[in-house]
Amino acid sequence: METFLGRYRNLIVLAAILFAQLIGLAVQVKLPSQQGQTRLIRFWAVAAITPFEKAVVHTQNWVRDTWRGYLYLHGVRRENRQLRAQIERMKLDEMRLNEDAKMARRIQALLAFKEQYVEDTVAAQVIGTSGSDQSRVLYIDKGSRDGIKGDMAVITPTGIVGKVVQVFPESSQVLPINDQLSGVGAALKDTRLQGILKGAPNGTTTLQYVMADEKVEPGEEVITSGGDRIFPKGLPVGKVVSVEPGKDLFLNIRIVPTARLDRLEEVLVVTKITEKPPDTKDLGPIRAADILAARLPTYQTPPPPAAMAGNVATGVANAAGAAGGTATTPPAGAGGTAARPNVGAAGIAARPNSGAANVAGAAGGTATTPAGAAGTAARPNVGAAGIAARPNAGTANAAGTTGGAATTPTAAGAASAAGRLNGVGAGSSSSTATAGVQTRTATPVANGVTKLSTTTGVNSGTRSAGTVATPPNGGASTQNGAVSSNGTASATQRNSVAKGTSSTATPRVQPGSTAISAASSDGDSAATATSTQQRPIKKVIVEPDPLPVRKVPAGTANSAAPSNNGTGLTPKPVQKPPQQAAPNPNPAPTSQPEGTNPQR
Amino acid sequence: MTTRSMAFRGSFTSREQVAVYEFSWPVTVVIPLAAVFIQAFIPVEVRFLPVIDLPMMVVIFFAVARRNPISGSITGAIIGLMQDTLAGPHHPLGMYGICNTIIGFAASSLGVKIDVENPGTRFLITYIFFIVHQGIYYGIAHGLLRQTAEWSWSHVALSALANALLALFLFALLDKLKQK
Repeated sequence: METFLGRYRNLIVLAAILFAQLIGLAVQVKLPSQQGQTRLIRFWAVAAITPFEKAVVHTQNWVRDTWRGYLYLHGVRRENRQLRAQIERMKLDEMRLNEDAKMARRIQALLAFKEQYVEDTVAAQVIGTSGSDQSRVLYIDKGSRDGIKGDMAVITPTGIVGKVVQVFPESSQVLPINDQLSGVGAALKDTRLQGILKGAPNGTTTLQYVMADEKVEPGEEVITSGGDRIFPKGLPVGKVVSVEPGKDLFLNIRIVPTARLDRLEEVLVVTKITEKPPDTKDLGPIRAADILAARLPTYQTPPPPAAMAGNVATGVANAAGAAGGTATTPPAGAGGTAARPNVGAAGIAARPNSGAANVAGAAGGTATTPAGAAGTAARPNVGAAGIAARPNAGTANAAGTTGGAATTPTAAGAASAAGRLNGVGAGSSSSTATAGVQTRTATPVANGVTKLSTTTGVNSGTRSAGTVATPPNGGASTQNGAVSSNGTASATQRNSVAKGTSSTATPRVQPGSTAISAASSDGDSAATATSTQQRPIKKVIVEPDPLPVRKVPAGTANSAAPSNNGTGLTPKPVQKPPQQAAPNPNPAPTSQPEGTNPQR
Repeated sequence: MTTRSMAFRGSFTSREQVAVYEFSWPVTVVIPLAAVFIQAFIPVEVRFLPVIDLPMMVVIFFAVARRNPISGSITGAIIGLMQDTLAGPHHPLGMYGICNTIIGFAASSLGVKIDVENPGTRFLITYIFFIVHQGIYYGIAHGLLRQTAEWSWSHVALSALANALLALFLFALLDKLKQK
């Protein structure tokens, strides 16, 4: 026996060690939930190695930050300039997107949707990995003392990373989405197809359980679906790089994560997710008109002949407004008649949020569907016209202001400023921030005839409403200029009229046509507008309208729009006949900043 | 410093006696820990490092230097278990332990019979042992634990090549820590 043990001692020891480990392995596999001792071993190992990893990482970061932050500053100024320019661009984009987001939130509120919000996050640094090719877990330097718990989502600004699987006092273990044991509820952003994102042993990620008869294109973005209750819905996951037929009638969709999982340095651990309905407090009351606009079908009518022909780009409200015609609602505008109550006289825009609202307003037409208001026209020295498509729509003012110009010169009387409960003075711009000022100057000429001059400032600063639109027919020339952000006009549109966004909008009004604005809901009387010229004109002779004209806060649309104050109420009109307007001391209309309007 | 020479009947080396090296206890403790630490930390910065298996190289080095199968097995088991503890909750303890135990035993047994001081031999045994290591791991994961595992010959061969090349430099470095 001794000879046997001595002779095979090495093998016996080897077998004993292997047997012990196999037994341990079997226990772990058999009872995965009872990991008491294993947990302790892991705890010791991680606790022993974490301080060293933290020390190395922090030292490395200190050296790198010192170098980058104080010594190596090459190109920082240039980068700073680029970033500033980028910020400006993003501000404009943000304004545009805000409008869309507000509308979306309104609709979500109407439908009682609940959204998941990432309310609280903890920034953490990646300090280690599993160190093996088979497991891709990461270690971060935040643990239970920092509020980290298991199954918390780990993200970066560019995309999701994974979830927390084990938490230690000073560190945590993260299972990334490309680990073969990971699974994330994901959906294709465009087609909204849902599947499960799983990692593969080689570190790739695939979207599984999408039926083979679905059409998925490479390049499509993948977002979280929220179905796993770990990641909030809508976080970016990755992009589709290839689509192949898979097994069992499913597609094999390979995804490239947007987060650089192989070069992670800092991550965010989502520690709190709240679920609540969208916040619509700052959006103003939800109007019945919005509900109708969102739910009811709209009858599409072809643009009337009176609608301007020159406007081809956006078609809808553009043409309507610019020509004083309508878009989809009953024909109205300068050349038509507003048939509905609450519809403004000069032009009706088709839809809320329509980008065309710009030009709709521009022609003195209304902005959006529900209750378009006519531009205030005939009143001398009143600049603001056009319609606010939505409450609080302070942006697209150029439309509204220019709109006054369009309507007025062609309207012998006045387009009523009524029409809409809460719409005053501002056209809603679907594009970016534009604001404008139109000041109209009435100069008594003789015999009660008032010469109207129009000064319109188009607050540009964006690419949309502020673009130069030169009516081909000569009479009008529009200039824009850069304007301060508060809507002060610096550009001048002299004596005229039309402007457009991307297209050239040439306001033309049928001679002799009459627009009668329907009575507004608050009892304003109708106004009759008769076009007198077919082309934009430089100077308009307008006879004083015996009817009292409702006074609209003039000047900039910026000043007009807030007058709604989100309350849906029209400012109290002031009855003032146009002939009582103070004559413009400036016979030749010039560009005037907002604050310098003599009428203000 | 301890130097021993042992004569082995079945040795394939031209030498009559092969040297058996020993190491001081700080080296015995620090080098494996450092290998595991570097293996866990460096891939954060160097993306391709997971294909390198520093702990396995250390196991091979200690095993062939000591030329004692029992010592090699124990060293392999300890280093492998340390590696297991960092490999994630879904990675059962013992997978790397078993692999490195077998590698340690085989390397020390081989070190008795051949001259492992030669760089060519070192390159070859590291190359082969890495493939064996991967094969054992695959067998445990796929055969015993029914885990999803992929075997790619090209990936394994290239990884083995990288490990073998690195082992030449690492072994030369660690040679300075030997006590002869």
